[in-house]
Amino acid sequence: MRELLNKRGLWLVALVLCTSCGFNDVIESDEDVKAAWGEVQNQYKRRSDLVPQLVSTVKGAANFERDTFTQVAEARAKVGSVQMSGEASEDPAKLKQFEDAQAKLGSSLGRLMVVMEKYPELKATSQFRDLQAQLEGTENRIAVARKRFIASVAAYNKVVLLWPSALGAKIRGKQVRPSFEAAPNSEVAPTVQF
Amino acid sequence: MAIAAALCCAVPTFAPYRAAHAAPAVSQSRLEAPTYPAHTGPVVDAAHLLSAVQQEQLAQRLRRLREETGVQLVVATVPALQDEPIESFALALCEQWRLGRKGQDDGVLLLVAPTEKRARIEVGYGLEDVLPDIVANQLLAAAVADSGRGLDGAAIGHLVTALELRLRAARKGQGDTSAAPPGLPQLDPEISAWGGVAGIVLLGFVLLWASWGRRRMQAQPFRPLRPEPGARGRFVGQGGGGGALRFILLALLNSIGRGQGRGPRDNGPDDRGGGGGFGGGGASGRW
Repeated sequence: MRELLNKRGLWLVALVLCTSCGFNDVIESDEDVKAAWGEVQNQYKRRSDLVPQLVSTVKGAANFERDTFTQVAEARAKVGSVQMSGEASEDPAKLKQFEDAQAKLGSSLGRLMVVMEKYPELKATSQFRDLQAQLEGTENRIAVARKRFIASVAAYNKVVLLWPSALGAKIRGKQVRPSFEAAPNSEVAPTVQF
Repeated sequence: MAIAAALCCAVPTFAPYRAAHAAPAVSQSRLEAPTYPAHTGPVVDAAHLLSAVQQEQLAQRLRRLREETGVQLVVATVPALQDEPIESFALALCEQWRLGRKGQDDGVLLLVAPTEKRARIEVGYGLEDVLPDIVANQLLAAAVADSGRGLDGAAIGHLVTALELRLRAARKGQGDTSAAPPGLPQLDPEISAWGGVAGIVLLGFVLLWASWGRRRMQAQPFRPLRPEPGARGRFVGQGGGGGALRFILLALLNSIGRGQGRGPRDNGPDDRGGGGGFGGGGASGRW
């Protein structure tokens, strides 16, 4: 009887110690993902806020590029409508929608900058140069934030899927998260029709 | 025996998430990472753009800047970017060399790649108000346009002067005189605290087992060191307890030591800041 008690006690201790497997790790990695997502949203918003300034600066000099401006305005409106909650969406479809809207804005902005190459007197102004610097800086920050978000989601998914931390994740009810699919602007650069 | 085995399996789970799943630096997502130069000092002239005298003078200025403002400005020239965009190359260097102070994020890197004719100023999170993208772009563009030959040794010197001016004006007197002497690795307080907690918890378990075993063995005469065949679950007694105790203590020490594992980093002489954060801010230029 005593031996049985010891054995049971043994297994109880082992079980208790083992349920620490992933129990806290999954929460820690979840918080990392949320922080990384916050940063991604931050940088995308920063780019979105630059757009009106950019458009108003170039509109005066490039009145004939109405198509380009319309595209940019539409893409920005689309981005504004696909708002995601503060937490990263656990729904892969919504995440893809968000990513696509942002990619469209990115490519229309790229097209705008390519078109502005036709206006050297505009390019020479310090205002345009500053905005271009800000836009490039923001694009770089977006790239960095995306990479970090993807890395944090990968680490979180590892905690959720690998054994034994999968036990703790299951207890907490945490599931695999979707991630971004491709790097932005990975599609072929748009060719401008003159 | 089984208890010790269970405890040893549990020990890794006490190791903090950060040590076990250290997030890889952003640039290490490539399959073949380029080789980065070693962080030998405030001036790393791998592309030999600067004369020895220029290097030494520049290094002195940068050391003085660091003492007075705490900002770690490093100048690096590389012979080849190895097909990596200069933005990610610069960020990788900043992360690997752990530029800037942890929490204050005041690192700045000036990277020049003369072969690809590109340069970049990478600015840490904490200095984005002093060197916003616009300002970094203006300074870089001015330096590149100045000499007509892109960024050579003299132009680098002028650019550093301009950066120094702004940094000094904004961060005067914020040098960190309480930093540990170079050469001593900084112990991450978070990880060492975890190691301490794990140690205390395991010690508690061990003491509980030991006292439980000892109380039950009080009435018994001297027991041989090796547990009797029929006493599988009761080895935590006199002699058997000693053996298990030693094993568990080893596991304890293991767990405390384990917390200090980290990703690859360059423990150069200027590593004492602990590594500030970089978000991709700054500006690139080409000629």
